[in-house]
Amino acid sequence: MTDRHPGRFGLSAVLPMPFTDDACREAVYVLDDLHADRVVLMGITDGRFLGAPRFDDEASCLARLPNGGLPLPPDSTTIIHRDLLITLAARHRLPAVYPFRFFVASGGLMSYSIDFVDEYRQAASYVDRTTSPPISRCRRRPGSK
Amino acid sequence: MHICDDRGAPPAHVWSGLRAAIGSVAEPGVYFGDIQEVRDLARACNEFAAE
Repeated sequence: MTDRHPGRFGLSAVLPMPFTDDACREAVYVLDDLHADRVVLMGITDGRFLGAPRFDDEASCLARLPNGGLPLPPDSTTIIHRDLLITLAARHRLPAVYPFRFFVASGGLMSYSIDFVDEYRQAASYVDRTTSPPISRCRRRPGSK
Repeated sequence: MHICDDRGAPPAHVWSGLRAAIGSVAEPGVYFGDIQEVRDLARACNEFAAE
């Protein structure tokens, strides 16, 4: 996909979790040979959450990679287990980017997210767009309100 | 009520202003209980995404 459409796609690789050795080998392969932009660690594998001690080896493998970091997507399990994740990132000195501001209030390094209040405010204009023709008015364009 | 559709509309990257996208495998990942299967499926997904 990335080779066929140069510049249009980034590669975020998947790892064979929960098998630590295989996951680390695949991470090295995708980053060195396939030039992946990043690897993804699933929040829950085999019924266990990423912050569990079971996944310490994956985290230390990630921490040893040059430019290693931990961006976390918005997800209900991420929120529920945020203290585990913040502790995990701190223990391995992984720079982490969290999905909501309250992660930072709980001790996380930084957050990057949408402004929820603004989202709800903008919902009114979407209702207007989807209920009134023509088609060209259906989509929000950059810079429009 | 008017329903929006894609007929006759410009491609998404034109109207959205987005230049590039990142593809990834979402939950539940590629593990369904078999160690060889998870190795092969992860490799297949990654190589498809790269080529």
